[in-house]
Amino acid sequence: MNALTPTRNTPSMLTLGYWVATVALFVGILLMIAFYAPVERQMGIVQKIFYLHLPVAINAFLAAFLVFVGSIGYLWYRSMWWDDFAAAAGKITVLFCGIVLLTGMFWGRSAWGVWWTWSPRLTFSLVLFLLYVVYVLIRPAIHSAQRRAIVSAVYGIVAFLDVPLVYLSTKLMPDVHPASISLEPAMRHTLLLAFLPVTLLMFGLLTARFRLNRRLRTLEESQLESSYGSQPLTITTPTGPTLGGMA
Amino acid sequence: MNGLWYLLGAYSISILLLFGYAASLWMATNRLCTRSGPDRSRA
Repeated sequence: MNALTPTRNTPSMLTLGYWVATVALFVGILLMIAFYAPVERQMGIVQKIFYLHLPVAINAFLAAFLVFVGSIGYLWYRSMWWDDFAAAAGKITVLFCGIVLLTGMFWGRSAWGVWWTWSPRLTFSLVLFLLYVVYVLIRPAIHSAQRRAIVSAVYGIVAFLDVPLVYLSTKLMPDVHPASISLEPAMRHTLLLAFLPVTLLMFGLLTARFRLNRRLRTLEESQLESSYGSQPLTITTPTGPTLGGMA
Repeated sequence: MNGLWYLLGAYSISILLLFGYAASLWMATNRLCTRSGPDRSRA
């Protein structure tokens, strides 16, 4: 047997409990949406997309904010822990923004007869999604870990500027989204409770992705260490003497 | 009736994406543990 002996990824009781509670709450809220929340008079049953659409949208903003926090954390402390955190939050932002766009499209097609319209909020939401898709795509393209972390951190801070634009777009400009909504008590209860499983799911996925990032980082560092050993890194010039290892 | 299909479509795609991503993270972590597990033969 060598150092690559297989091990099992056994979750702790806390992790297991967290995921069981999340799935149970998710099933509970689906039942509540189906049987407790009333059917809206104007839009009909398709309005029930709202109970997933809004909590996922708010969690997408939260994930984008965590990228922002992780980016500032990296620039402040220069620790890869923050870079791994921001990278994990970036992927969650893409996932949640994608779901917001998809659920919105289904709703729009049924309620207004179109899959897409270039209203301010939809446009800024699409820009937000694309900004974080680019964030996820540029990271593997930069080979130096330090450079990747710096570029990602600066990008992560700038990309977050789109979040207030998405939020304020309905308040500042005419849009297909209402500027404010009033709900019946049963609808309000369902919506408030729907935030719980969606937020738990967001933090669960973020934690799982972050742990994976940390393990990948440790593996990458141990592989680099075993490639170079404990010898100082030396760079041979055409003339023979070395540049490295003198410090 | 048409609205019901859009509702079911939206929910099923969202659930598939959310829990599919969770499953992919689980599998990736398992694969990584297989690659980088400790050498127990030396213990």
